[in-house]
Amino acid sequence: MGEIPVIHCRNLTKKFGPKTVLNNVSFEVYPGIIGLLGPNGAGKSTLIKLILGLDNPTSGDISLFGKTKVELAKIGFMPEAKAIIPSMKGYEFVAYAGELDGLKRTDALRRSHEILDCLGMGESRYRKLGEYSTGMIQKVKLAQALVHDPDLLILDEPTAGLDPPARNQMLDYLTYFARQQGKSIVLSTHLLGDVQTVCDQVVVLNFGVCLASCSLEQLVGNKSDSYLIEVAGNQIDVIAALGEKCLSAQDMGGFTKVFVRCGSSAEINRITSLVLSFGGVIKKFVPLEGNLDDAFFALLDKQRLAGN
Amino acid sequence: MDNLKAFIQGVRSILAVHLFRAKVGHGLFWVSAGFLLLVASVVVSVSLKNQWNYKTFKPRGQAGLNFKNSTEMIEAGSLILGPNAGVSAICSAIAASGSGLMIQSGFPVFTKNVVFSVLLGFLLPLWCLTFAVEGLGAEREGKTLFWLFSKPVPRSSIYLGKFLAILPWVIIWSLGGFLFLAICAGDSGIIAFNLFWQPIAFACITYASVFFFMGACLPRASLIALAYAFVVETLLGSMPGSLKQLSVAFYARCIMFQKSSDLGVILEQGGGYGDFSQTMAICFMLGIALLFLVAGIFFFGKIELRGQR
Repeated sequence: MGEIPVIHCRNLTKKFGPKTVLNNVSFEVYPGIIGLLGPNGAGKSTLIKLILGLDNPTSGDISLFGKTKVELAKIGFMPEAKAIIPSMKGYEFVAYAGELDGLKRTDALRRSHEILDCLGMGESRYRKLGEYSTGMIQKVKLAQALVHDPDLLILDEPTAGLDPPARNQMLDYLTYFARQQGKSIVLSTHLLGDVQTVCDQVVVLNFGVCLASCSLEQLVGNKSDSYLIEVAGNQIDVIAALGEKCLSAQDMGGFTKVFVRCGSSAEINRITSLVLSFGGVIKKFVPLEGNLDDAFFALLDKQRLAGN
Repeated sequence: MDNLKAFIQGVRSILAVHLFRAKVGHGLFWVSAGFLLLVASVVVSVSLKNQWNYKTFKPRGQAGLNFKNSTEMIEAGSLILGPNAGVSAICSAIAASGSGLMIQSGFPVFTKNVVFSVLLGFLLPLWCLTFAVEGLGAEREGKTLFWLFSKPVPRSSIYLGKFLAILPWVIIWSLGGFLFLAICAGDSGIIAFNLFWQPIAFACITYASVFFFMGACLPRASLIALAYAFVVETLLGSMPGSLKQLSVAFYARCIMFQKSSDLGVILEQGGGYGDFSQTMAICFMLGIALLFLVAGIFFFGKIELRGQR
């Protein structure tokens, strides 16, 4: 890509006593929105702590923006836990975070109001955090991560507990800050849909091992040779004739959904002719879109099978 | 230079935010408030019966006359021995001085029974741990510690900022409690408060440092702090010999002992409280406070936040 990687992990290993939480993890990710995926216990939180410099790796190293020394002032972190002070008002809390990030009191207050305006907090910023709904707390947590205008945002489950409209709004904000304001964002989440909606790159962890680190397109694009054909007419003979080209078939009543693999356009033509010659009627013939769920679980299955 | 700037900004910001946000209303707070009311009710009842004096005093473990009865008997003797003017005068003098001592004995009786035993032996450690343990313990439980650590301020500034934020609460709550008990006791209590508020304040600073360290660096800090308060301050602190020197209360008692000696009142013979000068005792208490502060900053800097997200 020719750019300096935002995060570059080299042979990162972290052990707690005999337990290896991260095992020789290596990856590099570039500016954009990066999805950090993995089931519970995959090592995501440990990786975040290492990125933030809150813990030291047992071996290996991490560099952020090409530097091995972590500069926390360049990072905004939104924890998964509530991590608020209920007796503080929204704008006070964000300003407090700004002061801890090194801003002067007056600058911190000004930035607090700016960022809360940007997140549409309105007058509710003057209410105490203890009275906030989950959606508002998530917004304030995002605001405190952004208040000092960091280059890298690390967000741990930012859409957890949000209803669909609030979730979509949060994802819109992330897209805005990444695309319009040039922030790099690490989005650690269990929600594959969120990653597929906003991320450019993904890092998949499981049992402390990095299973994939690539663009989202590369991860889900491995189905680009699969097609869906909706066949009416003589469906049974058509499926028999397709033989091993047919990946699976679903009877839909009046027609059948047939999933086939075609490596080239010549093969697409040959399958079309075959279907027509066996009395089939083609209602639809479309490429299958890549799906992150399938790709993610395929990676986990592959690791499981390799382990067996 | 940048580190120092970040340190100062961290302490200032944390102090400013947390100074007026001490956690009250939690379990330990109500327990300590409950004990204050319990002891205050006993003090009030003693005050109402006018018993802050040597009226009912008699040598420990011995049956027979108490101080008041003895004085009355000597006075009666002086009347019976009326014809013998010399002996009668001596008896009258003894009886008069006994009565005077009885009237003036409120201060030592209150100090010995309430300040030395109940306040320093149990209440003060309990009051101090109420706020000190919660200082960083609450951050741990509220999971804001992980968030604070992600900010570019040194951990030492987080520790110091939070400590300075709870310290006034510890001192105000403890001295306030002492003043409340003193008022309940009347004149004797007020004399004791005026004389002893300084050693109590020094003890508060030391306890705050010890308990804050526990809250920041140990799991289940409240239980450990309560165990410490009971075993070291209550039990060891009241033991004969030099073992009591392990307790913080001992050094506060040394100061009190000497302050009351200056007034001509010897509070407790043979307790070893005269062995340390006031200056030495203050140095010991502040030294312990400093030691735990430095140890806390060191260990807090090494805490691993396992299980926090």
